Amino acid sequence: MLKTRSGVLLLAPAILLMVALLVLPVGYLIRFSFFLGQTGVQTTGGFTLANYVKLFGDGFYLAILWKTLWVSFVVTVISAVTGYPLAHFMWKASKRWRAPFTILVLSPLLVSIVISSYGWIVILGNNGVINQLLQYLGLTTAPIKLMYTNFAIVVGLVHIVTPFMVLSILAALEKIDPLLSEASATLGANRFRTLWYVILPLALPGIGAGTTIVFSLAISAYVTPAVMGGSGPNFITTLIYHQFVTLFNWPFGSTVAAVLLAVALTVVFLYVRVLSRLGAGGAVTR
Amino acid sequence: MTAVSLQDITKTYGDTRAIDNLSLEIASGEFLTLLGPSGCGKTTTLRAVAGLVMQDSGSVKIGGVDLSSVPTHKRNIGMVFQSHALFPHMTVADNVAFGLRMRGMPKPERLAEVEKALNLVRLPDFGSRFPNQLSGGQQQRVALARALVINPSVLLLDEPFGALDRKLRETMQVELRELTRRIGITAVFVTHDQEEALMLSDRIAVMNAGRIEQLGSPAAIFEAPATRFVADFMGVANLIRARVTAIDGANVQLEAGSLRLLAPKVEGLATGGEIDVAIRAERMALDAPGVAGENAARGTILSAVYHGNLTTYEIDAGGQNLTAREASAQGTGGTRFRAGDQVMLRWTPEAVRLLLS
Amino acid sequence: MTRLFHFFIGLLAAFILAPIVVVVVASFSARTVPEFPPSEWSFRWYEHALNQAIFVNSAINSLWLASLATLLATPLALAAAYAIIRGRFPGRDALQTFLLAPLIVPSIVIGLSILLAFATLGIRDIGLRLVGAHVLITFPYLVRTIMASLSRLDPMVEEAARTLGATPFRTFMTITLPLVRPGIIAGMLFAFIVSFDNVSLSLFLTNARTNTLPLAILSYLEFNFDPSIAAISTMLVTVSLLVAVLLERIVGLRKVVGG
Repeated sequence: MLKTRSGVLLLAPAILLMVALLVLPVGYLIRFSFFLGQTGVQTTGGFTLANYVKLFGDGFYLAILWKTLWVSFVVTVISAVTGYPLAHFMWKASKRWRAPFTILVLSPLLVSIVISSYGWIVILGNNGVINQLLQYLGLTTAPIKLMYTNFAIVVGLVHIVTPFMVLSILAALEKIDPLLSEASATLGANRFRTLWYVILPLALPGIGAGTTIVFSLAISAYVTPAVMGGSGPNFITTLIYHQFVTLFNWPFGSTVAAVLLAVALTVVFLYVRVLSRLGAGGAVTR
Repeated sequence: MTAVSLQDITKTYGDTRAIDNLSLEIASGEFLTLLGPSGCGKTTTLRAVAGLVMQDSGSVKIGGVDLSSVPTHKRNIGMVFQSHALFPHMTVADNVAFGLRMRGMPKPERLAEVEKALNLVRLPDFGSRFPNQLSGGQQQRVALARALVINPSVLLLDEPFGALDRKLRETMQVELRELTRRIGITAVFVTHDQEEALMLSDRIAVMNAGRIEQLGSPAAIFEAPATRFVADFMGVANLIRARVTAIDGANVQLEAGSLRLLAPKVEGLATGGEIDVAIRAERMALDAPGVAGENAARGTILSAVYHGNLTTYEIDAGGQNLTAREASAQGTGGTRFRAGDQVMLRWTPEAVRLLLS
Repeated sequence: MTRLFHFFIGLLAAFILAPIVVVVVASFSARTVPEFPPSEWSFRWYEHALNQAIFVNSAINSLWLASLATLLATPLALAAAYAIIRGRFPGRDALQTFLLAPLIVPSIVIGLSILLAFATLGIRDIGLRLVGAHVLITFPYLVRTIMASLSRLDPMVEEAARTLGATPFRTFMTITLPLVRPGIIAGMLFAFIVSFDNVSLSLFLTNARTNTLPLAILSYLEFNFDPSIAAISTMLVTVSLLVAVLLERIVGLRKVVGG
């Protein structure tokens, strides 16, 4: 066992890093959100809630907030519905299939988002793979607009969050005693009833963790909405970028960022509350 | 000569006292066992000797030198762990050589010492293997060689055979006893298995709640448990609360319900006082019904359980539940009596142990 | 039924692979727009990409940044992970959550906060704030992987070394470090990828002269659509795939990524 003094010494650099580059800067950001901006780091006047009033009082900004939440919700649902079968398959897969499938499922994580977004443009664009296929088959004469839509954002986001959903569910599935399926069978349950009454309830904590992680990832994704969602601010993150980089209104950008942070932390907090009520332990991390 | 001396050792974790003001002297060349149930403080005591646990107060002396605040690596001890704790990334030879390397012994001598140590534990040709290529028993022998090769002042063993199956455990016990006696090393052994303790030790310290409950030779601990805890832990089946009715000459008369007992006198008794009495089940003789009296009781068999060479009977003797155990009768399917049979129980005064609180 | 399930799994696998496969195949087209499948095959976009100064320079920047961030974060993470796994002190769980916090806070928020903090304090060194930010986001992945390795290491193995006369430092060097080395290497490889691919943090912390490869690709994409991006992407995908196979071999990919 480690002596307390050595423990403190070993942890000190890490805590210093966290405080210097996370706690203090986020503190600055939150403080900034309560001032009115001039340009960049310059502020005018004193402490004010004006930025928050502006954000929550303007239909334009509210629509962006709402769209972000709605799209993220849809992404979460789709990724849960597609992630469960993938996790189940990996859980039951033979050794031979497991390693290549692990790499396959994790590949969106290992390849830069910029690259996969580019790939989706090639697939979903007006002259893209899908439109050419549709026209070749004679199903449509003019290209259908797939790219630069909410649909495109959902496709792109589901793609990048899949590894997190699958891994969360798989972690829960692997804790299940394999004898439970057999016990259920000896008691007369067929495979679907075993899945429904035994496996799925036990996988629920994993699905819960997965949806939490995926939702937080979706609301804070920047590249996908920026590249695949068309021009102009259409997502919380692109709104933040727009305020900071294009309009140079740092305080208002900070306000939007603070709201994003609040939503992300609330999601995690709710999840931990639900989890502790269910009597399970654990922390959410991506 | 005292090899290890513990003086007034106390160690607390939060509110619990893992070791409670414990003192113990271990003679040079002695094999001493710390015996007790889990949580009694036996492992903490061993780890305090090793310096892996720092006591809150008290002193640890090894070979007459006070090592109370000396870190583990300077104590010159050999320790064998339950999980073997072999270094998985090193060969058997490198494992055994590790302690010598730490002491700066040159390589040629080291190799010779390692070879000697591996011969000692009868694994001469295993030097180049890795721990995961060995069986559980072989791993434990390597751990023993690794601890012995540094020529430690004391060998500490923390339930070393706990992970082995019964047959292998028995073989290892015999080997360990033979080996430690042959090289004359002082050894402190921790176990919760009383049979193991009885078989290996020169002396046994039975521990309970961080204290030594009784310290003595295996025979003394087994035949003459001093307290109710020791009697119970050593497997005494009949623990009876009795009242002293008379003290005459060399004997004491006691009463527990309808039972009347006669026992050799001990100091500190008073007529009318209450005391715990222990009688081992195998000291109770069963007979056909007769006349009840001192150290003889009439009873009804409640159950008869055959377990191979022995048979255990539960008997209701006038409201008192007693247990008797005897060698199974041959050819009769084992049990001499059946549930419901009337019997007579007899025992000698020497079988009755008076336990002083 | 099982066949239907496998068909569905096949579809999902195709969905996951689609953008990557399309990029790789399109990188070999000869035309000025990416085609899938190409009507004419060529390597010309590889040559074109490798001759573009912005890609080469930003790639060198990214390599430096990812290497530096990983090398700086690793000792911090090793020390912290060791203290958490082997230490016994109140608030251990809370501290662990705190050290993994950069994973919970959206990285765009982290990027902005660091930009603001450095601007407010008047620190103008782009390299410093970029490296600092990348150390921060690679740190939790390293902590988690190293903690996983350490918690699988029997503490009695370390105690055995101590009883045999090894000092705490020597025990760490001869016993602990060799046994957790695979975990450390895996964590470092993954940290490198995380840093190398990062966009949303670097977005606010770079400038025109100090750019990273993903950002260079992103800004190139705004005005160009030629397959040179596909060519670069294919090179990066190849490296990532090699690293993935390596990670799977060393410790198992999942242990690194967590979940």
